[in-house]
Amino acid sequence: MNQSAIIAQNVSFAYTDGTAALNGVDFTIHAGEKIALVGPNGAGKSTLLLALSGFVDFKGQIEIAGLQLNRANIKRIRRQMGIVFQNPDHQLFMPTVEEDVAFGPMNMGLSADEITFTVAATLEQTGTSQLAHKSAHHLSFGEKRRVAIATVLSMQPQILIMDEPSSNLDPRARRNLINLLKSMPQTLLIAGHDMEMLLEICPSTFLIDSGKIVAQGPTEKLFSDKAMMESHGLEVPGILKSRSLTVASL
Amino acid sequence: MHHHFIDRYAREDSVIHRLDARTKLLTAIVFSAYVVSIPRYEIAPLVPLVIIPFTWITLGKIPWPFVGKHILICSPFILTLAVFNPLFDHSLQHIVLFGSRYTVPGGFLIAINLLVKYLLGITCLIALSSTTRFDHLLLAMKKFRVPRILILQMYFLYRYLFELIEQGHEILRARQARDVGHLTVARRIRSSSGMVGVLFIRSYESALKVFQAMEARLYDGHLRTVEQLQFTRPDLIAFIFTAGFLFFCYLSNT
Repeated sequence: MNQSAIIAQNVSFAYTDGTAALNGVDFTIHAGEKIALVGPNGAGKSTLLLALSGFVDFKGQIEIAGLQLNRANIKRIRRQMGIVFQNPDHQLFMPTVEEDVAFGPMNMGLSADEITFTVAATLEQTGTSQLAHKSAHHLSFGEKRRVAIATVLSMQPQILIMDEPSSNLDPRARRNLINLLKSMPQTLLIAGHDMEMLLEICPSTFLIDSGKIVAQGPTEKLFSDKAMMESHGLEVPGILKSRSLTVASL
Repeated sequence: MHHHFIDRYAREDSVIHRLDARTKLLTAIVFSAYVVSIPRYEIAPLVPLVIIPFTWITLGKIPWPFVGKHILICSPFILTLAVFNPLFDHSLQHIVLFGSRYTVPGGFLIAINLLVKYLLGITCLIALSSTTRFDHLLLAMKKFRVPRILILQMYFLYRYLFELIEQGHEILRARQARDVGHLTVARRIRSSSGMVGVLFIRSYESALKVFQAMEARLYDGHLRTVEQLQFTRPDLIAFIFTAGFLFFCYLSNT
């Protein structure tokens, strides 16, 4: 069995007004796995990602890359795990794309030569080399999304977590993103509602509702379970519906 | 949406664009300080100073209509200030124009002095911002040991000002879309205050998210940058020329 990348045990979190956002979340993700995290609005997807990144004070245990998630380890964990936020404008805060991609490596204390090499390689990997000297506010939304991923990839994390990476993307930008994510060797945890994209990228899925993981398993099998999907405010993706129709007609 | 409010020409290439941001910033500071130091009833010493922003804009290939438009945008405030001066200063001043001696109201001279100083200052500022990338300007400020917190604020102001403007436009459009002609002035004012509140909350939430994104990438309070500035021979020549010219102007006036 592969080494565990993320282990969550009985993770709970409530907002200050008492609303429970996470309610005893348990799961294990092994190194190299690509996992989809689906659920209705308000299910706790984004909160879970924030908890995994150490941005909310949760109860329970989280272990990332073999390290307990706590104040003492947070910097070491952030070297191992990157988070891509839903809105790329929150991720791109430096004056130019190049500066943004270099931000993480510079904070990691890499040498100037290493930074130059890493930035160039990451921009190349994400197909954004031509944008290096542009400001974030001069980029299209699709470009911003790719650059946001580049800002995290430049830190060479083993694990990447993403919140709705395909939202607001046009078909071409979405296809480019899917190809990029499929090509990445990192452990991926992707939260979202773009079922067809998740089906294409992630072999396994966690279904979260009311702050709990209510189902987990192979993505195609889980997404095909109409009763399960609808009971949690989701729909069977169109591509699976058409597949089942084809099988039925045969 | 693409925005070009401030730095439309800052990424062009010219002999001025290629100068080190420190040279341009220092030149602008020295020039502005000299302009401000000219006594309020004096106008003649200000005239030759036009050469500096004129040279800067011409060599920087900044279109004059762009400069003129930006001068006009900022002018109402200064015009208001200038117009009221003749009302408050009734002293009489003597000036020499084309060899003849005239007596004019001091307030009138102050108004002209103010307008000329404004034109020189704003033109210099437009020249600086149109020939220098904002990030290079901030890097120059960092080299001049401007407090880190101020530079950080300016970084974020520059980066998120456009987002804020865009969000403001969106909120305004949302109101217009539901305004079918029955929106009274009182309700318009009330809804505007709500809009400002929404904008503030969104800005606050965005600031939190940005900080999380920075922390996730190991931010420790020090903003590190890749770009480095280079002070070369053209910088030295440009600075000596400007300083020499200003010194010559100073000597001519004393």
